[in-house]
Amino acid sequence: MDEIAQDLIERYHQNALNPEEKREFQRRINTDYDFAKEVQWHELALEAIRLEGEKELRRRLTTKGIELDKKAPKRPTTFSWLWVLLMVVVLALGLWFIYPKSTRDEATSPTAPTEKAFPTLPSSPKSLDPAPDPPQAQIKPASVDGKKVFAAYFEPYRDESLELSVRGDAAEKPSPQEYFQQLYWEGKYSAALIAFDSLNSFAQQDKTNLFLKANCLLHAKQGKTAASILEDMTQKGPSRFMEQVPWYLALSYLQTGQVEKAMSVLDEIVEKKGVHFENATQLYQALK
Amino acid sequence: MASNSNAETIINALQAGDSHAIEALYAHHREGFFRWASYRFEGNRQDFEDAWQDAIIAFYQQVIQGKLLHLRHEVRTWLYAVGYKRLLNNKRKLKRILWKDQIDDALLVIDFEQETVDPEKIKFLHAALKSMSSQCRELLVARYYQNLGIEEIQQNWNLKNSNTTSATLSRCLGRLKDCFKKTFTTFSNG
Repeated sequence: MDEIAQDLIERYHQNALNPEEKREFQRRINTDYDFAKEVQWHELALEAIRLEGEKELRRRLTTKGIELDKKAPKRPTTFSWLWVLLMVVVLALGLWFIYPKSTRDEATSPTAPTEKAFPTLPSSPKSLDPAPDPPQAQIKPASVDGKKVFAAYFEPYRDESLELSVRGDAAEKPSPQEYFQQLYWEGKYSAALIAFDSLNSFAQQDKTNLFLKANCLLHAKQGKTAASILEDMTQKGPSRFMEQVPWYLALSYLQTGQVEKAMSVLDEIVEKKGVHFENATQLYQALK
Repeated sequence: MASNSNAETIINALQAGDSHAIEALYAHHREGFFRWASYRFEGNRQDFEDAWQDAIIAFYQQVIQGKLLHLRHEVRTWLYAVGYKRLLNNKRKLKRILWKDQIDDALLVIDFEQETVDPEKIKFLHAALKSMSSQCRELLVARYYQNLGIEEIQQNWNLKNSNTTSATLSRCLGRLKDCFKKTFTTFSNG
């Protein structure tokens, strides 16, 4: 089949033919057997590709579904909130009758001494990053949930040197690498991940790009892949982010529920008294 | 995630090849759909998951094929209605519906039926694609399913230039068609 016919068939399926071309297409279908047959092969090929694409998309959605289910293992049943409410009422009534009146008076007395449930943790100093400090979460040591702790401490790394306009002429069209870093700087982490994939292999090995990618992955809740990048960076020796990598590695471990590994990295940060010393100390204590 | 309730934003993102947008959409309304469906159907979580995935995939394909450019309803309503149709088609036990909501209204105007393909044909098509190299498969899916442009494909697969990309795609598509031709010729000769 000639190229013109192939092009006509392809554009017909893309809905890109003008009225004249559409007439030509119909004419050839009706008069040219080979052409009509070629249209059938093309349609069959498109159907096969659609099925393959659908299979791939379904696989991605299933993986995402499993991830979501893992994050929320306890699903409330339809009337669970009613049960909770009922239990609270019963408990409150029970306490009201059982608890001695004198104790209640004592507890509500204005002169009664009060005690803080948890000692106040030292506030962390401003780090070198302009990013806001992570919230000073008070976490009950008995019920540490790595993912929740992660959410309380994780902020994607920011450093003014990453801003494109600071580094060069903003009017010029950015290179793929600059575009990736620009997306990162603008907080478009999903788009940055896509942009990373289109970098050449040399740029994909660049430590700055890898470190930023790990942050994007953490933001996208893909802690496992982030951890493997950061582990690799730790082994490959010094980089500009030497002091940052262990902190984000600990957070990657937390995101994937590997609390012990996270604690071991945090312990190292505390020992070395690095940039994230205060946060690491606090987090370590919380996880202990 | 306010952007997920904005049909235009999602449609634009999908058309621009943002593959994460469909996953975000899937995740955003999933639990809500499960809850809503469980009030209407005697089904298990897997039934709802299948229906939800079908709805998401249908939405994706309609957008990518340019059949769904504007929505009269919220994306959520469209998805719920399509998922609901899927559950109805499965003939699962329906619960007594005590209330009507916007999904029931949407069902009256959303004219969408999912195609059913003969399982034998599916097997045959899968086998044909499986006989090709993984790069060919990926390229064809990117071009003809995800509707990515030549330049985007060239960048994503690190191909030399747009001419090489077009030629590779054309060669892959040709091979796939040849595979069908060969099979049918064998059939007709045999």
